[in-house]
Amino acid sequence: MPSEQAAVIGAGHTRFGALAEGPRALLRECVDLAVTSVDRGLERTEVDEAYLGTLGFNGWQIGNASAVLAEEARLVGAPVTRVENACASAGFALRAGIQAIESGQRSMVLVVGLEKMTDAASRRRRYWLGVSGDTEWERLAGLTFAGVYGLLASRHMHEYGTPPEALAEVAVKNHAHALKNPKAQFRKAIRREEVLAAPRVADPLGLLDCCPVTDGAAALLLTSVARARRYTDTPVRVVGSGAASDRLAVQERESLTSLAASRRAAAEAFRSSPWDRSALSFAEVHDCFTIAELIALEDLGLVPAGGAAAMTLAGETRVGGRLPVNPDGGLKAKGHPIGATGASQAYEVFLQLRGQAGERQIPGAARALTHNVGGSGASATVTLFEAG
Amino acid sequence: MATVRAAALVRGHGRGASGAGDLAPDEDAFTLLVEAAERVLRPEAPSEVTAPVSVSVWGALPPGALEELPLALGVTSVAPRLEAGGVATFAERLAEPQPAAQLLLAVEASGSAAAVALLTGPAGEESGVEISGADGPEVFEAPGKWDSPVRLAWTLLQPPPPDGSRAVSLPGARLVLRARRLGPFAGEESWTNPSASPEGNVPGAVPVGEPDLSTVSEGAYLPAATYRENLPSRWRLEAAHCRKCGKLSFPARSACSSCGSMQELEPFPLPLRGGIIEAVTTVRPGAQPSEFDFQVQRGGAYDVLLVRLHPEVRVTLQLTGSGAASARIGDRVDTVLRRLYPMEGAWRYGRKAVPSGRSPS
Repeated sequence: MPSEQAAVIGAGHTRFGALAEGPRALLRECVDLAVTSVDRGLERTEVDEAYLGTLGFNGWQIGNASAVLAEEARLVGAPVTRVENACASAGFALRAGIQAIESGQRSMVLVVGLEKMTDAASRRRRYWLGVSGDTEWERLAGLTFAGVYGLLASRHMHEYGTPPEALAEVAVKNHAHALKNPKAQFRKAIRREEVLAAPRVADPLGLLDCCPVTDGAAALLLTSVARARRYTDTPVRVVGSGAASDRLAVQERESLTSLAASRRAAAEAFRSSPWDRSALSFAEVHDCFTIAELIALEDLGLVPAGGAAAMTLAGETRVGGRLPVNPDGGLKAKGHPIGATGASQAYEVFLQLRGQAGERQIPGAARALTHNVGGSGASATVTLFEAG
Repeated sequence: MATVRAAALVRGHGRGASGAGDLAPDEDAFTLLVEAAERVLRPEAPSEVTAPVSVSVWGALPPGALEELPLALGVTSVAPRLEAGGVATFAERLAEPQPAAQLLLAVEASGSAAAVALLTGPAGEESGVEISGADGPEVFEAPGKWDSPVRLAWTLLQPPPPDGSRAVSLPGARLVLRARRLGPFAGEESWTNPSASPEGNVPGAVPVGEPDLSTVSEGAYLPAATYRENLPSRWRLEAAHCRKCGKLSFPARSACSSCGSMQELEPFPLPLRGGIIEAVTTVRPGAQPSEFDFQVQRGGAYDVLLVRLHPEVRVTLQLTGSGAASARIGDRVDTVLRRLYPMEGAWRYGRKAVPSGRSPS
């Protein structure tokens, strides 16, 4: 058992979208917002370790990006480490931060996720969008991630009869949720017919089944539960943390309808948790494509395999439903700045479990899950949080 | 004198300015030659495979392709020879006594494109086509007709006329080749398919066009050394069989993917035909990796499949031709060597899928 339990005492989040700000300004903004969110204040000198989750999209500062965070967070001198696990970079940065606190080695850890994606020519962007899958056997057979998830979707439909309408409903729901998130990239309701009629990208996935290209950053401040009361009366405790890996190429995996890394990460997270899935108030899951949300619901054990479509079509995953999923709009509508997403999900949890989510507040939200996937499932994290 | 025991004729699968028979964007002389050779070296029944003691090639190949040929064909003990002299030396070779199995390959890809592969053996076989040569008069009855080994082979192996044999006189060579049908030969069906005839070739027809390879390298980077390391898996779908745990690993790597053993791996050729589609997507223009921009500009959308080749192995394969989501889960596919993408100024090759049982042309 860990010697300490970790808690989030502060969190900050930039707007998500095609932003004018560069990566340094985004880092500065999210860290400043996290520091000022600490109810009883925090001196930056108290931060004794930091982790930066980022892919380094477009080749921006591929080496030692951690030093840029040290500069912009005004932490020069403290150890800072860049963590890269593709779209799960910040999920794994958060995990590193949790472990630093739980081990008792560090007393205050800053976790940041960042990506700046819209500042490159489209050709260069298409290069970077596919660098986190298997290069030799998937990408160089002609696949980017849309194609990989298109393959998974075709198989899920074949094995479980998952209808296109269920995929579309994921997009419709997440867009509806994002309407109430002032930091979301898309604040525009869409109809199921629009999703189904959108131009195809990688069949059966169309344009509105895919998350957008996004700039943004998010930051979290972690300390021990024992120290948290010095800073706030309403910390958000980490009660479970799991992570796992899988083979890089989908062709080498056992299943085409399930991500083993998600299943393993969830099993580990729930092993140490005092409560099980039925106690969740809501979940933040990795919906880079609409099919990914359906697969996630099944892999996380929130519904039996093959049941996610019916659960979604019944409205159970909407805010107001039995188990709201992605109340912030998810990757689909809030946006998906690759390395920032894992921290952004925890930011939403921080707001919801403290009753600060404004218009999209889930009444009485007390327990939540975040689920962050790298690429097509080569890595995944699951983190469980509880209010107070 | 020689006996043709197996033969195959393959034409380009594109539809360009000269009609059927043009090269498709993912084809060139190398892929045509390999496709023809595979049809005679790896027929449906593995017992028919005969390892040739020599490989001779007529026609122009891309730079480096001749050296790559043994690896592509899995005949690594033989160094192929590029033969000069065109149709004359091809005819002389057919007329010579042949003590052992030879693989004769010829390709023409300057306009529309075709390749032939002939697996020959000593005279005295019971099946195949026996070819003999004799001095004869110079005959100019059809000038230009035998200007390529491909067309000569095509004519010789046609079903015989009622008198049972076929003769071709070569202008300038004082050589008459006679073909006598002993019985059916492997690959005969490619000679009875009218659309396979290379006689309809339009010399100098506009080929599909080539990209400027020096401008298409921005994309994922797979160094040539790494690409070459994996060619047996990439080109011949060679898996690794672990003698320790009995499992297959694909692609073959330095250790067994099941038990981690590095000592007891042996090459295991996966079937090149009859795979079953487990998942399918159509990659639409704009969703392709940038390495495939040239292909999409010429051919539009394409399908990518996950194909089960063996109970323990599935592989990601692009389907040849333009994608229209025409492939379905459960369909069977065969595999062929094709150009995949350009990198470091040269084309990289690998296997693609074609619908199973498609006629040769």
